[in-house]
Amino acid sequence: MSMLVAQELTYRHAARSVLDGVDFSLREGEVLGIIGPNGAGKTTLLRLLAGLARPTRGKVSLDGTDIHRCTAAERARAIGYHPQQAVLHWPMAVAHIVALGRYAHGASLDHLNAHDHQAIAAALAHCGLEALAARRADQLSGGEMARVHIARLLAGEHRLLLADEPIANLDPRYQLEILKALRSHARQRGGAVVVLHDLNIAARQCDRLLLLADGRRVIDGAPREVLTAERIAEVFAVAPEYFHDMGIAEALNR
Amino acid sequence: MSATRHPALGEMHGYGRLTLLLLGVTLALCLASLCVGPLWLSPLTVLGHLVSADDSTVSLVVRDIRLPRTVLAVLIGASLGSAGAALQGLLRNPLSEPGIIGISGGAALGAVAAFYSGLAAGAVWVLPASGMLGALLAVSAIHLLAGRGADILTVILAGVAINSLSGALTTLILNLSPNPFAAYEIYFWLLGSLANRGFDHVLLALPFMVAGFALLLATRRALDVLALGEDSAASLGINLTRTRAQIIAGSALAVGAAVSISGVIGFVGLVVPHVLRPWVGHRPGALLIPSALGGAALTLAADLGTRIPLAGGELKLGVVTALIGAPFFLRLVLKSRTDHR
Repeated sequence: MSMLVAQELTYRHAARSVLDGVDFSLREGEVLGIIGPNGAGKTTLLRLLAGLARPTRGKVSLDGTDIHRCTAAERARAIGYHPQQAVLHWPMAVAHIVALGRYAHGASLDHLNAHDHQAIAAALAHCGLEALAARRADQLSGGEMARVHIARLLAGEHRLLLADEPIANLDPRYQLEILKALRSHARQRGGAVVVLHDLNIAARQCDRLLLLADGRRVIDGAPREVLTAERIAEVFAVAPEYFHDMGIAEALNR
Repeated sequence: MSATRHPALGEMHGYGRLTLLLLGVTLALCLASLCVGPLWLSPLTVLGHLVSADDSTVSLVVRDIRLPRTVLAVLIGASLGSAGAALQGLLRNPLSEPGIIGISGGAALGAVAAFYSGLAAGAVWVLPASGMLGALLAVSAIHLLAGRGADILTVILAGVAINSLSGALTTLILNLSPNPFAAYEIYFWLLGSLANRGFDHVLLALPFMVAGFALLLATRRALDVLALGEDSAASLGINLTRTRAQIIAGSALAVGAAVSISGVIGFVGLVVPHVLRPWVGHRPGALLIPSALGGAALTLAADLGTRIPLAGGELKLGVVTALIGAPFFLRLVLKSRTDHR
């Protein structure tokens, strides 16, 4: 059964069409990967799903409710969002940053209840950050910081997670760890939509893929249906050999 | 369930000690401010005259001269410190302060216009009222310039533009000033001072400062989440438009009232949050109250500095805060240079 349904999503900005009539759905327990060349509209799509921007036309429903008709607080409880290039402006302690995820449920750093503490501890454990909980953010490596942002996302215990390139610039080990965390979240709580650049990882780690190009949906379906040598060559403007050279065929056969 | 509570989160409740320490320092400086001056008084004498007044000169000095000056130093310092902390959190920039987005400049222009027009001589409330009006006009102009839902950079740029315009208009008024004495008076007022202020000034400014501080304090939660950037904060349910409006209006009220009583006092809103930030675990929301107390303490200390007898006349408060603030700030710059090496 579909938990998230996007219908005819269209977004125009400065007289330019960024997204044009995109339809797709996300089933319960699923991780959907959004792929496509730069400028395809992936980030805009994720921001529309998060309720951070309103579509020019079309609607997004989560469990049958139009998310743009919910209050910001209702949306915050249900949907967690990890922006592209997640930032942290002040070098707070890791545990404090993760605790910010609980703000979606009305908590504040000065008022955390037992359940908040439980969720924070679970998120820290899930991302292997227990030993770093008291560490200041400016003393972390890039990989550690990326895990802190994911832990912040998980601590919110949202039904739907939206993550925009959460594994960019990370070592393979952390890439896999973070996607594993998102997958286990999807299985337990609802679902996840992840923007990915690495087609190989998308093929291996996502249940389904949505391929965007020029603001339109090219296709969505199982990785095997979406990722074909001809389609990749055409949409990403690469040579037909790319598909085999990058080992995408092997990734699909796993 | 307390077993699941993470030890690293325990620190969050430890800021009470910092607040108490700052409160103690502020109270000690208040007492010093009542004791020190051309007439040196012992703390016991001061406390005695505070409790029971008589018609003596000492009582007059303590209650009518030094007490309002001390109370104003606390209120003005707290306004500048908390507004600086809130603006730094909102703009996510440690170099922001009420001066940078044109609030102090607008207030100064309003007050100088009141001097120039001669209206300020009419009634004691005209000067503060003009200052607050100037601050509010500056903020409204920033809102109009930046437009609805503008990003932070646009707000800063609009603020810098308004600040330059207020500065230019203030100088123009000094230029046009018909008699040199008026220009001289305006010029000295601009340097900032708490001398010769009374309880009527306190009563005038207090409601605006309290309202401003309440608006700023209401943004504590939002400021913490803004550490993650605007999109993440919005996705966690923070209303960015309201938060921005609260902080800008709160700063305009508190700083507008402060500047119109004391003239321009720089660096307090910049230095105080910067120094205290590590002590609250770099949490922007937790920084507001300590910055208010720290601002009060720094302004009291600087005002004590103005009482050092000089041959040429009284040192100005704005000059002292700049003399303390600038070297301190240079040290921060040098430190950040070595940190990034």
